[in-house]
Amino acid sequence: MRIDRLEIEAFGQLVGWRAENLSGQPLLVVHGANESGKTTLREFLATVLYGFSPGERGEHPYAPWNGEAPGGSAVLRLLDGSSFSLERRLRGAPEGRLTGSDGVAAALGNRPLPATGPVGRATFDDVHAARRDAPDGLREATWALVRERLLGGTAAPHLRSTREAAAGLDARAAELWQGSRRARTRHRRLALQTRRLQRTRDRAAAELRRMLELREQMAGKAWHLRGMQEQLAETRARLLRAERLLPVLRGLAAVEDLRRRAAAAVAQDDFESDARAWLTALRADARAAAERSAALATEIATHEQRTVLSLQDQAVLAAEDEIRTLVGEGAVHQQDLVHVNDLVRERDAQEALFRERCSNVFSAELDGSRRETLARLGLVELRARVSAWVDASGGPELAREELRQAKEYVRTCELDFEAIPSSDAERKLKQREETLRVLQAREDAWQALKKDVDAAKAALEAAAKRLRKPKSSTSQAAGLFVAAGSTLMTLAFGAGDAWWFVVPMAAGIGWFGWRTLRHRVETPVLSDEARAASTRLECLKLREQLGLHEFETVAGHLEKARESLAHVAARPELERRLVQARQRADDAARRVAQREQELDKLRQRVAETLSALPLLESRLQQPGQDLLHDIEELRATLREMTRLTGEQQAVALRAKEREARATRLAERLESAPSGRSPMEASAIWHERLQLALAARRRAEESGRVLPTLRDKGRELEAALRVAQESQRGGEQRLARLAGDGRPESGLNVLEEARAWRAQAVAAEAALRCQFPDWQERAAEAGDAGNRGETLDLTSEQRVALNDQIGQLETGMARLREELDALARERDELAARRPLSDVDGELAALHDERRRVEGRHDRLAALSGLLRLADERWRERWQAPVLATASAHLSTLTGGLWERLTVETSGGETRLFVKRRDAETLHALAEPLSRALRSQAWLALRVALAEQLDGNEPLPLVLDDPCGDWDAARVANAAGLLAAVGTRRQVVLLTGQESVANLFESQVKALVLRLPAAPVAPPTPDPTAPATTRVRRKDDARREGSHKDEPRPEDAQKP
Amino acid sequence: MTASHDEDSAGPAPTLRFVHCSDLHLDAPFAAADAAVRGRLAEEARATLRRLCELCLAERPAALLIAGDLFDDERLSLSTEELLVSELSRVAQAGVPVVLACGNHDNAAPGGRCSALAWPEGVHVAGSEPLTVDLRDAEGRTVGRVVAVGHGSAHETASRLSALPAAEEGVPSVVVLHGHVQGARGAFRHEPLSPCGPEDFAAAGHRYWALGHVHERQQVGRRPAAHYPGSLLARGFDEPGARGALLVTLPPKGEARVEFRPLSLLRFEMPALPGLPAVRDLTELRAACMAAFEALREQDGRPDALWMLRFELSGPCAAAADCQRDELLDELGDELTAALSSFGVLGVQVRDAGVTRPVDLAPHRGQPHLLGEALAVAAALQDDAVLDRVLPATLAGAAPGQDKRAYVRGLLADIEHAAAEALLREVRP
Repeated sequence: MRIDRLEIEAFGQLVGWRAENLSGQPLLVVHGANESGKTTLREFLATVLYGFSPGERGEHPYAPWNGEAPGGSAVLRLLDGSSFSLERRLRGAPEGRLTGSDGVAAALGNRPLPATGPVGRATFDDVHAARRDAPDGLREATWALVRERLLGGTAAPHLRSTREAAAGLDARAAELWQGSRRARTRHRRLALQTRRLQRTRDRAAAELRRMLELREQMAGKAWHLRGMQEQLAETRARLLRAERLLPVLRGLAAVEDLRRRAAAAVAQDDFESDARAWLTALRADARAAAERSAALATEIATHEQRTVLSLQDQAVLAAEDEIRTLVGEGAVHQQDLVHVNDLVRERDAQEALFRERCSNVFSAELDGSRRETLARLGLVELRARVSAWVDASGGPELAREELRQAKEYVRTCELDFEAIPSSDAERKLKQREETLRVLQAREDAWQALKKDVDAAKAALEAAAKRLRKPKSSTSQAAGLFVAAGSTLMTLAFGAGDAWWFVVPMAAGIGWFGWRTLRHRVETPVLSDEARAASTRLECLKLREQLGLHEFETVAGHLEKARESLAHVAARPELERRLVQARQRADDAARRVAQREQELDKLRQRVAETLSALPLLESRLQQPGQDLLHDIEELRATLREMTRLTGEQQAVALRAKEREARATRLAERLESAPSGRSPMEASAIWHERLQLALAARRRAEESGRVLPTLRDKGRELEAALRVAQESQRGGEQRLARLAGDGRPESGLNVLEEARAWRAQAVAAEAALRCQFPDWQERAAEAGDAGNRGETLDLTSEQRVALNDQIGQLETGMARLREELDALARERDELAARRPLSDVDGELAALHDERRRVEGRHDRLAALSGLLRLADERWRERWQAPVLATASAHLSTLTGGLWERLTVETSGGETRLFVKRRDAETLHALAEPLSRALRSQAWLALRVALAEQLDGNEPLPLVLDDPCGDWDAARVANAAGLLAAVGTRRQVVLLTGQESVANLFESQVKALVLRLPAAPVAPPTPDPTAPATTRVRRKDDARREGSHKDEPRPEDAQKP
Repeated sequence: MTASHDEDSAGPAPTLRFVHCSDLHLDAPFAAADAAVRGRLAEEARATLRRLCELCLAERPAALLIAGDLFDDERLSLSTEELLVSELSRVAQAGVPVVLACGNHDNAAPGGRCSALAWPEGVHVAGSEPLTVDLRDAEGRTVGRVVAVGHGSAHETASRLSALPAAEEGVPSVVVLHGHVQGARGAFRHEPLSPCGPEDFAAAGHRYWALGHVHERQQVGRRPAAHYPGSLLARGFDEPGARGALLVTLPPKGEARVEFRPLSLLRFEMPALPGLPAVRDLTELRAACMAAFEALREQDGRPDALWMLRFELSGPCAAAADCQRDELLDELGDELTAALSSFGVLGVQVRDAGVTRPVDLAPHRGQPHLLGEALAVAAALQDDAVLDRVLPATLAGAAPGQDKRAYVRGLLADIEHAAAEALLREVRP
């Protein structure tokens, strides 16, 4: 449907405006200054299509000021080429007449034009012809229509929008994990924990490696120690060998020397006759043998005594392992005792803290059973009940506040209801309102008349100046009438006979005066002035009747009267509102009681949970989380006390076990040192153990020596017997050997030789006695000599060997100390946290991190799913209209903004736009610029209009949409609207010359220019002569510039 | 390498009985936040080793075959090492030879703990080179032969089967191997080290394959029999059920009889909560958890069992708002641990694994609104193209090189209810 011709007879300030041959133009631009009537033209177009709204002339906002009936006509052309004429006029009632091209007319009344189809007046006003002052947004009724017809009812009220739901999911995911290392996420906290624990792990791994190293080092040092022990034993053996073998060697050498001297003195040992000497020697041998045997017996007895250990030494040796263990645990025992004391002190401190906290919560101290009850208290249930109590604590206060507000509202309603006037007053009010309305109309008419009179006077003066006419023809007419009267008067003074002359003369003069009076210039002015004076008088009477002062405005009183009448009309509504308010107050009062009961019940539930404990009454007076907090702290303190007690008992038990073992050992040894604890006496036991070990070594040595000594004793006894036999035989032989018969001569010689021999034998015997193993020693010495070993050590050599032994012993002691230190370090490391335990905690953290990551990814994926669903939903359900709107928006913004979507949330429909270079949607509101917002709404309106129309596309009337657009976007709009104009008629109303010129130059739009708004009339010059109102055509033509613009004289038609 | 060989054995081979176990992982970490629980679990691992040795001393089998991963190489403490040596020494001294095929965790790499360990006499350790041990009865007759091959490093990806000697006629032989059988249940959780398969089992002529590495007890070959005994001790919640060793009887002819002997008291279990949708608050949830544990105890029937429990909350639940708060669930876990400690429960975890408010999705499916579209997208997630559009740009938990689609699909269980929960303003059950 296109408008081909418009003719506005009177509509608002547009009077007699006309335009023709419009249907062939795709795009019409109506340009006019402010208040030139652009919006009035928009309203006229809507009125042509849909009728007058409101349908009462007195209330129509576009009723002309001059009181003329608003109306006009249009010729419309349909798509099939047919056309019809439509006239609408608002007199007493709205009138409409539809005349077809065949000349057949039909009454339309105030009904919409049938060709408007499904588009109602409201939709047309909101979409096709939006007002300039409401560019942003559609009315909710229009949105409902759009949703119902175009968006398929997709805005389900029970659903959140995708943006809202996805934002919630993203926020939850961001709390769990973020890519940024600075984000304080749960994953980040776990990572930090992991990092800290990783250091512990590295330390534990290093400790384990260190323990393995220690084991290796200890094995190496033990091997080294064994080597040194062997070397020490060898050195000691060499010294011992030297000491053991050297006397034997020397003894043997001495014996050999004696034998050599005896042989030198007596060549042959056949001087048996020297029996005395020999006998003497033999007797000496016998005595020496006896002495040696006795000495040996003494030595044997000494050794036998050494082989027997004392009972105490035996007992100490039997407990060797236990003594070593106790000595080794001595340091640990002292640490445990100190640790027990620390734990006792710490536990006492916790006990004091617990009692102090108890005093804040409970009325009595908690005994064991109550502490057990406290420890087993179900915190989840208590927390739930306390939370419910706290949550409900504000309920009564809120309900009381609600009750107070309800009562205030009841009072307000009561006052409103009491303010309703009575029926008598209502009748008077109606009369007053009618009178005021009449007065308003009269005063409006008087104002209009006064204005016309002033204007006419001004024109009259101007005309009088131009025509140089006498100021007043009325006086001339009055003179003529007086002359006519005088002529008639002559009949009374004697000219009655000449009546045939006088009467026609007087009639002629009167006719001439009448003619003069009839053609006077100021006639209209005088007529209007009279009407104005009459109207003014009527107004004053009405004001007096209404009790209004002359300068009081009627509109205010009329408004008050109407409000009062509206107040009367609202009596049922106020009555219903009062009943509802009282009902609300009653409900609120009931809720107060109910909330208080609920609160009391919740408090009782909390008290029930803690009934087994002597809770302070004051703690149940005011709800709060601090009670739960105090109980949790008490439970924590109780747990800590339990832990401390357990640890103290465990350590004390270990110490006690050690003490018991030490005591048992002392009892077994029957030698507990007085004044010391068994553990402290362990050092003494250690010394005793060393002594017992030394005694055992001596006994073992003696045991080894005794068999040899006994053998040697038997040999000495045999030697003694031989010596005695030799003495007897020698005496006989000496007596025989004496050459002079006296054995004394040879005896002296032989005695000397035999003495030497005896000395040799004695030396040899002594050697055997002293060294029973002299033969082995001799053989050993021989072997040593064969090896090149020097047995006859010098003092320097002995010193060197002793130094070597000292060094070896020192080295061994150092090695033992090192071994002990390594063992202590190993034991310390073994007591620390094992690597597997740290790894276990790490694994738990790792599991938690994986869980957090999984939850984050699930939330992110769910967010992505919702976004994809949203995208698909929009593609499926919002595609036709929003795709068109998005294309329009892209055209308008030069492709910068490419998408336009709609969301309905909480009953509110909102528009979102998307930039080409961004992913997020922006709500079409601040801070987006006003120009962009108006462009988006223009795009949406154009698209909606195309979708909403019926068979006939309705004209699109755009009221100055490009107000604050830049030139580029105005040019884009021109292109878009020109394209749209090929499918439907587009009427662009603008107050900007540049916009009109751009549309005209770029898309060849037809530009209609409205005349400028009338300026305020100049103050009339009372001295100026009254003239008639005349306007030259040239002046009027200068004001219009287009051929189709209504002629000035048409616009000035009354 | 042959440890011993009886040249003059003759006559039909008698029945061969041996104990087969694997994957004890001594001193491997237990993922638990509580230090006391970790200590208790580590002690249970050592106790399980003692019970294994007690079983051998009581049953007097011909051998104790350990198919690898007896301990964790880098974490084995000295005290545990001493215990291991003393216990195995006890078994070996009782005349039960012990054959250990090193696994990837206790591999025989030079300088490793396995190589440095002073194994007692009678314990035969097989590294990457095959080891043959003849088993004899009290009279000295050869009753069977064990061929073992282990891992020489932590990443033995190549198969060592070609190095195994063939079976000898008339001598029942058993292969001890720490290997990965592709397709075995739970095999995906383990590295594919030393791969083998049923076709390999039949080729060499051995009667029984004593396998290790996969922690789930199962039979992976019938002729010849090939068994995984499962881990001797559960390591986590992915290893539920009873754990122990196999007592295998191998008759001269016919199939092997395998008897499972539970040895570990420790149970990692995730009991189901069938009544979760009806749970209205945490008190009821606590009761439901205790009831589920009671049902589990009745099934198991072992009074001295030690329990590690995890309740995973998923699906619709009326108390979803509370069940989605980790701090409340942690407190509930602590309370359950305290309440059930007298029943041998060491720790209880209660976790939100996707619990949602109860929503009937049927009325929303196919509806022309966003939720209907979201449900349609969720149903189409098996399509890779759809999933790719849902995939987040950055995944927190996907390892480099991991299949992101498979990873995300694993996270999207019950995603329809989650989407409904996110979109619905007020859920109407």
